[in-house]
Amino acid sequence: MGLVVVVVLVALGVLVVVKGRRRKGQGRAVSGEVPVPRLRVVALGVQGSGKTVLLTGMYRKLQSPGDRGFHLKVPFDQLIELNRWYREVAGSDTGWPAGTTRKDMREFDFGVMTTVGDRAATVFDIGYLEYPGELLTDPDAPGSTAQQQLLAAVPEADALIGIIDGLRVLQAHQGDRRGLSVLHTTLDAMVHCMLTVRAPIAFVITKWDVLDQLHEDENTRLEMVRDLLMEVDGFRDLVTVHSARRVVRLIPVTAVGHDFAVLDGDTVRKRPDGRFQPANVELVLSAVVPDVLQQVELAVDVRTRQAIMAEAQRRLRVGPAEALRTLTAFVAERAAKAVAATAGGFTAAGLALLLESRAEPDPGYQERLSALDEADRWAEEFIQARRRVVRRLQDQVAVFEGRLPASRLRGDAP
Amino acid sequence: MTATGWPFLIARGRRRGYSVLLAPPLLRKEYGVLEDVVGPASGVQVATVRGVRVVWEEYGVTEADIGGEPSDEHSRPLRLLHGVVSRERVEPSEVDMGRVRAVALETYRRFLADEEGFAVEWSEPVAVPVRRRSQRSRRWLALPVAAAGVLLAVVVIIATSEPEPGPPPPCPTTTAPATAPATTCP
Repeated sequence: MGLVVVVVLVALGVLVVVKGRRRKGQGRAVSGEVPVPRLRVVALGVQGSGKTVLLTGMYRKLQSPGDRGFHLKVPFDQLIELNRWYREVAGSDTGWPAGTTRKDMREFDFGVMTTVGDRAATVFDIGYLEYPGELLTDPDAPGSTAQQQLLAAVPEADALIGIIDGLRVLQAHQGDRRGLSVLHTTLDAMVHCMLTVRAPIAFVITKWDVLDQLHEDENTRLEMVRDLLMEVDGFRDLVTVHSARRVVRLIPVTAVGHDFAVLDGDTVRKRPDGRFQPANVELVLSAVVPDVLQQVELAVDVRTRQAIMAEAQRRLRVGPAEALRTLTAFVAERAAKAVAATAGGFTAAGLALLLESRAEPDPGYQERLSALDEADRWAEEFIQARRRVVRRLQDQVAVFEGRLPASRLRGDAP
Repeated sequence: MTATGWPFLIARGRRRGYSVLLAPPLLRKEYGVLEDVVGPASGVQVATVRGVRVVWEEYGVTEADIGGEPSDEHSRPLRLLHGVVSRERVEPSEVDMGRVRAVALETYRRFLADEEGFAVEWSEPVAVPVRRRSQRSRRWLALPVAAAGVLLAVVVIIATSEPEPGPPPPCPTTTAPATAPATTCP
């Protein structure tokens, strides 16, 4: 009997909470929830290439704003997992993380946050698929669906990242037959997945620290690696085909730093006194947004782009809050369909970002802002904040390209 | 009381990635489902897949287990995900899991000796304790739980239903001859 009483009380509690929330929701300001574009990233890499360590390093580097003006935020359960990996990676008395199982396959949700008005808001999301590398090279056992999930995610991605194990590159450079064979297998698996997609591609050389010995100058080192990779037929063909109409990058990263680990034979071991100082890891995610924008610009013909821009501008003039609410749906339902019929090669999320980032400067901005009501003013600040983040990302990538010109892959490269 | 269970093992080698190495004949045509549900665990984990109960735990391989360094070629620790599957609600004890681990380790050593040539092995059945339910202790709960469930469902329906629109406004009253036909609002 007591149980029944308890359940009745719980039920009444549920009723009160649900009704209360409904009432609260009716009066909610526009500034509470804004639909944000979601860019889906799939990183393709075989087992042991450093996908998990890279993911950990990227988040560590971008979890606070620093001088960037934006930072990443993940759901709490994913934060716990990333922190656990970080402790394993950064601890000098622990081994490397144990590797990802098929059960662990999941998409990490990175919210890109920046300050809008007096508080932090998510201006767009990045979904990053984490999976076991053997899915790229080993056949799936009967009954398993993990490989199908991965292969289905590739053509849906806004950007692809190819993870190349720097240790295999070094072994190939040194003439090690197995290292060369594994490198070829890796590239073949990636080329197979990437050749038919239209998303921008970034190849990431992990364990860049073990390649320090190739040359003291980083760009020369990167040129040497680029030349070695371009000798592989499939890779060269992929770069030639893709670089004609989209961005293809080669980003060298070390998720632990140049002084943290040492190569002992064929094994990378942690130094007891090593300094954990990741380098370039943030560029892997930072390059996604500028590359997606450039991809959309390259894929859309001028007339179509102008027509879509005009529509976006018109909506912005009606009111920023209204534009924020309806732009995503507009892009998804009308613009993306129309453009996909003519060119394709991008998703609605990429187009939505392009519409804002390429909007014409507004000379009467301050005057217009002061005339807006509270909800519209917040929405306008939101749009401006998102533009600032996109510009910041573009600047970051431009600086990187200036520092390492060999990072931009082209089919006509030597 | 015991039921039949079949040991299984999922593990990575020094070169090869995670895969089922020891499979239960019960899942002969779909043993890959184990890879989708069995993952790293602290303590014993339980899941149900395709009507089969899966009980497993994670074990860090030691040097003594395999007579060599317990890490793969990328310096990552070697781990076993081992356990039993059964059609019954089995609850293996620590001793049972230890027995299963011993079977799994035998398979694992054969796998490490020839990773590329290794083919999935099929496990032999083992007896595993089954959880016994007390029918008497559950019977007295049935009626109140059912009544509470119905009540909860009603409350949820009320809570999630949209408020009904009120009755339509009445037609404006006019004085009309008693013989005039009934009309709808304009």
